This record gives sequence, structure tokens and C-alpha cells, in this order.
Amino acid sequence: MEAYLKDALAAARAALANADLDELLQDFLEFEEHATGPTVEEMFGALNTPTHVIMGLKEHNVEDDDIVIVSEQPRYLSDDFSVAREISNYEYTLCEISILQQVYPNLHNGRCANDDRFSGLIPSKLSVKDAFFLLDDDSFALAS
Amino acid sequence: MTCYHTCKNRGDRESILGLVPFHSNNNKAQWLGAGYYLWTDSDLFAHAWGRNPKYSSTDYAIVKFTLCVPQEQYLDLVGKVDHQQYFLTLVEEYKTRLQQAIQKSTDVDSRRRYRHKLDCVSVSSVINHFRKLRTFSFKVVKAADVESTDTKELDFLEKSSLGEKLLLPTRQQIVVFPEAKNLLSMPEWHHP
Repeated sequence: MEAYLKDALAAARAALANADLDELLQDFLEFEEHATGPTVEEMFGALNTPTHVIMGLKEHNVEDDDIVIVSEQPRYLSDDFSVAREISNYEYTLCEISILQQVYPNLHNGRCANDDRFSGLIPSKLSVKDAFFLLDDDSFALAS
Repeated sequence: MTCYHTCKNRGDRESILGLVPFHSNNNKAQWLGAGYYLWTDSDLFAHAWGRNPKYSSTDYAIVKFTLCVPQEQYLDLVGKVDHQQYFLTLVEEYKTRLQQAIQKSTDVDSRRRYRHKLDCVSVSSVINHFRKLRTFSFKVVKAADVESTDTKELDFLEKSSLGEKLLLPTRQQIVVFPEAKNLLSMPEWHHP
């Protein structure tokens, strides 16, 4: 933590330690009575979801430079939701992810913080691997 | 930092430029404390605010400012992890001390009620209280919320039990506290 932040914390600690407890509590209740906006928990909860979780990654692969793991959640083959599919994890290279993005224009995607790994969600009802059968050679050429 | 300030488009351009920025409503608590509220980086939410009849009117003006703030006076709760850690530590210190105050109360129901309030302590209370204690050294605070019709909620996993979302764009705002108004540049007309 930067020195000026440490200094600010030290000053706050000193002020809290010197504050009259009853007055501190009454002021707190007064501020809460008229408080507006999010709670601390709500604000940071919205901001601090781990990036790999937001991106739909089951885990963040740090050993391989260009491999991502896409986690497929349980899905259903039929519209009446009668047949469940197993959960599968697939690994893709950046090149393959790029191809998938061409097949699925609405594929949500993004970059994980601080590195170049992609992640994405494959739309339901069609296997991730099926997507590659829909591609022609040109698509591969474009992505490579 | 480029900032945008939305206000009602009443009067001529010169008179508005002479009055902005407008201080937040003194009769109503504000989520980052009393001061001057501006939208950062993009005018997207400045327009959204102007179009929202709940807060403004259809006839609104947007004025552009440049903010130059020293590093040690700027608390960025959106883009700086270090600052987020600072704020969360501050909140923990605050809650720990208040727990001691609550513990002094002899009434069990009151203690339970106070603890519940403490569990749900708001951002605005923390900032306002430390400013009252004169130990909040920051003059500008940047924060974000996600309650906006312009923020899109993107699902990443269908049928996910965790319900992960990516919310973009985040509605980012700054408050400039009154004593630091001079950190804002001369206003420039932006809209209409």
C-alpha cells in the first residue's frame, strides 16, 4: 500500500481511538438514518467478483500461455429439459476461441485481467466441439 | 481527468457556465457525501442523467470540466485495488471500534439492532463520518454503481448456479468535496 494511504489509515485509527464511544455510536446511527446509496458490501460485491468467475472460467490456467478452460454448465438437449448433458470442460487456444467468436457473433468474451487469455461462453444446445464442424477452411485461415 | 456535469438548461449559456458546478442538494444525503458530482471519462451517463425525468428534465445541459487532483487527495474506488484495500481496511477499523461502542450498551435489543446496522453499513456513512472526524484526507472520490438503464447485464453462463454477470458500462462518478472545488478547470459547454 502506498505511503499516503498508510498515513491516512494511521490518522483514521488515531481518530477512532480518541473518539468518545457514545458519541461515535450516536453519530453512526445518525448517518445511517439518512444514508443513501449502496452498502459497503454491495458496492464491493459488485466490483470484486473474481475476473475468471465473471468470464465463466472454471479456473485460471497460469501454466500455459495461450490455453483457456471454458466450463460448460449442465445443459439440456431437448426443449422439455428432459435430457441433461454432462458438465464438460474444454480447453481452447486463442486461435480456436477466435474461430468460435466468428461462429457465434453473440458470444460473450473478454480478456482476463493482466493477461491475454480469452474466455467465453458457448451458447447452449449446441456442443462446443460441434461448432468446429460448422467451420470451413477459410474460417481457420482467418483466425490463424 | 475529463468530467461531465449535468444540469437543467435554464437561462443562457453564459449564465449557466458562470454557475456550474452545482452543489448537491443539501437537504438530501448523497451517496459519496455532499459536494459536486460529475460523470467521468464519457458523457454517456451525463446524458442518461439529463434524460431521466426523476432527476432532471428533457431540457438539460452538460458542461465539461478537467479535473487535476494530486494523487494523495484522490480516492479511486473503481480503478485502484490499493485504494479499494485502503477503504475496506478503513471500514473494518470503523466497524471494530463501533463494535466496542455497541458492546457498552446494556440493552440486548439495541445491541442486536445496532449490530445489524453495522453489518449493512453504507458507503455514505463511512465517508461522512470520517469527514466529520476530519481524518478523511481525500478531496475527490471516484466510485461506481450498477443501477442504470444504460448498464447492460451480460450473462456468461446459462443456468449458472452462481449467476455471474458482467455489467458494462459501469456508472462511474466522482464527488469533489466543496473545499476542493478549485481543482476543477473552467467549464466548457458540451451539450446542447
